[in-house]
Amino acid sequence: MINRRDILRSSAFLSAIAVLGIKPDQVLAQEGDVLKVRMESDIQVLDPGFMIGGTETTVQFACLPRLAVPVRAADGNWGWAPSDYVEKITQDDPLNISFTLKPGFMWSDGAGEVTAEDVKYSYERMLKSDWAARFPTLDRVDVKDKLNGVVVLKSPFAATFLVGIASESGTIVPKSKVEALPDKKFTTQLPAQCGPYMLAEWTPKQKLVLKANPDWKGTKPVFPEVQFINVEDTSAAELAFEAGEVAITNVLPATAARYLEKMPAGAKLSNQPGPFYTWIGMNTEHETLKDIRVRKAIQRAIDVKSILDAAYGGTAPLAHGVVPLGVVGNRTASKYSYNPDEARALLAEAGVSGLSVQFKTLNEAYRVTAAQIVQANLADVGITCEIVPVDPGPFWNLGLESKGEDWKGLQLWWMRFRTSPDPSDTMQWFVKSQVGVWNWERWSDPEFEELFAKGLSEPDNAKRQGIYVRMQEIMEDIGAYVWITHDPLNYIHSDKVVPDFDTGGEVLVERFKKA
Amino acid sequence: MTLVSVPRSEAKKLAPGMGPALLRRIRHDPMGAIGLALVLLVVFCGVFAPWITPFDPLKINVPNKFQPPSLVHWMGTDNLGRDVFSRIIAGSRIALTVGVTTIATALGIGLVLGLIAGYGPRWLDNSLMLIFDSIYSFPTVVLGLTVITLLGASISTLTLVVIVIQTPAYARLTRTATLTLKNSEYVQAIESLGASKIRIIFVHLLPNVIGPLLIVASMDIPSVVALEAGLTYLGMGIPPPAPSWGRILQEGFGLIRTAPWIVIAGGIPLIITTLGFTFLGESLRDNLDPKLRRVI
Repeated sequence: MINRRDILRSSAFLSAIAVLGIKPDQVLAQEGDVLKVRMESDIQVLDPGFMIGGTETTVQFACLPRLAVPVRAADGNWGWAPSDYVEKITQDDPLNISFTLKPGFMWSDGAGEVTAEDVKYSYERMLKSDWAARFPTLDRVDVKDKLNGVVVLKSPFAATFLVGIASESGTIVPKSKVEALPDKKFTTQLPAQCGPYMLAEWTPKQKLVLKANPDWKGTKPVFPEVQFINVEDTSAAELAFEAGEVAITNVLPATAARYLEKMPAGAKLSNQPGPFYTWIGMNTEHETLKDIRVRKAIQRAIDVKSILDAAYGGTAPLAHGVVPLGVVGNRTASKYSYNPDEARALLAEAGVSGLSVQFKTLNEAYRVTAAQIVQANLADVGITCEIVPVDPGPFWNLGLESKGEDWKGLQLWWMRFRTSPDPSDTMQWFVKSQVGVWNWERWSDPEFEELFAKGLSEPDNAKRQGIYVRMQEIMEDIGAYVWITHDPLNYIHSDKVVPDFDTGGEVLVERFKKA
Repeated sequence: MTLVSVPRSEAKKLAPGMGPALLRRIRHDPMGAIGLALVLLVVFCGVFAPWITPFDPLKINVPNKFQPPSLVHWMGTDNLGRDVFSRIIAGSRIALTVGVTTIATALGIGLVLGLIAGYGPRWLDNSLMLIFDSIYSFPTVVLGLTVITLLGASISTLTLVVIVIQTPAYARLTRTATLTLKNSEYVQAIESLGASKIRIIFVHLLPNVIGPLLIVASMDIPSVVALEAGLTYLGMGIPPPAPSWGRILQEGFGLIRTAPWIVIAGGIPLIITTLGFTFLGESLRDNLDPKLRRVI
């Protein structure tokens, strides 16, 4: 006999399934060896040369070969290791990296064995791709024989592995299959696969399924099947996790804080240092901010710890520069701190009173929350601050000279960039040539330029640490930066799963383990 | 003279002594009384907000964040430690400013343009109607978002948007009423006596069309308050830290599972305002429309 309560319960269950775009059989398959992962945005381009990111990266790592993989060392810093596909890969000298592929790694769809010719084709193809900047000094790949080759650089580049070879940009594609494609490019259908997993099924805007590759000769993945469930809204994904519909999802800062106070049963929070750097920038050429004492006053007037507490729920670390945690060059202390008295003194010294500034930020809740603290802090030292929330389209054009005159009126703004795990990638946006492009602070310094060039080719990490710390000191001394945080990657996951991530925070499901 | 005295007496039917009698009627109508009380509550909060808020609605106190409702903080605190109850009261001033000011301005402009369109030459009527219909054909929110995107979000931009959106509606209503009255005997009589067009429009037509418009306008106020809240909720309205109800809702939504009281508190004044003005408008209509008026 079906009663009213049963009908209501069934309706609620089916509604939740419909909202999440899940078919009932998927829910029933939750038990056992199927890992369900929340997918924030759908795949669009799996081709490493023209990809966008997100789950595309995850699929590339799981289904396509590479020479090296990123690994986080015991000290928390990112490094690299040879992949399952190679016998050896070594940097013979600053310009030559030799590799030997393991025999027997076969492409699907009759594309034959993975060869050094595939590596040459894939890397040299990247030079003409959207991601050419990942191999800034790559000259060519010399093929010695079927399985041996040498990656040849035009000039030394210390981040060749972390930014290029061991990243998603180092993905190897099957030459014969890609060459046969009409545009020699692919989008959502892999031309051939060779990896721990095979892309078995993709339903746009719903789910993507990876199944363990039966012919795989490397380390077997723990989960025979991984389902990526498309839940675009993070709040909805959090609910999906709590309802047991996905085993892992990233969460909002406020949710991470709530989970830290009261963790859901059977859940764990993974708080990883993220590849981000967030700061408040100041336009050094703007009339109101030309005086370095005014900029330094603003640096000291802003209570960053309150921002981290209110906007990030206390889950984000205080930054002391732009180079994130776990990357060579990360700074552990700044030369300034929150000090409103010092800020007032600097303003008085500069003879400034009744100053008004405009603070622009992307129109996102946590950024607007932070902006309100900045506004209150500046008011405390006598600066009137108007908050201007801006939509993404116009925001990313604000400082670009090529996009109009907005840069002239730009004063203060909230900025967040993502970086590869190498400081050269982090720092490239602040050099002189970037003034009017991404150096919205519009400054340059000869020592900074010199150090940037030196850092690109310096192989010694200890020396690089010194170079990049000094570069951030210069940035700080310019007074145009208020360091905020390196936004962490907060993932909530089942306590039965041990997740792993790449340098950009994407899940690497082939490395997941059972707890 | 006899002909002239008729319309004057018609016009004066709505004027002297109408207020107290109408108020008495509304007070005796349960729906009207509730509506009036709710509207007076919102108006009281809006007018006296600076004096009656228990805390500074803008004062940030991060260590005090996410305090649940208590005797100290009746509606709890938000993620910046601000007293939500104080922000709700302060928000009523913004709601009233946007709601009443814009509706009054739109009503004024719409009334004048509608009278001119209805009583003026045909070519002018056609031109004005084309403009009204063009504006009217845009979906309200889309037009609002477009203007705000172009001009930037601020209380003045929002006010401008609402005036632009609302004016054609009032102008159309006025025009229709004017066209009806234009051919009435008393207007023809006044014209035959040589009264100027301006005198006819403002002395003889205006008093006869304004009554129904006031009812419509009073019922539009909650829509405008909701529009402001909606646009602010979408991040296109009044910029922070102004405690508009839409902003309170927007900020609260992201924290709904951490501090649900923020969203609840942000929704209450919108409900009160909507119910208040709607009940009052219904009651006004019932009492001003002779066909609907009940004997009390």
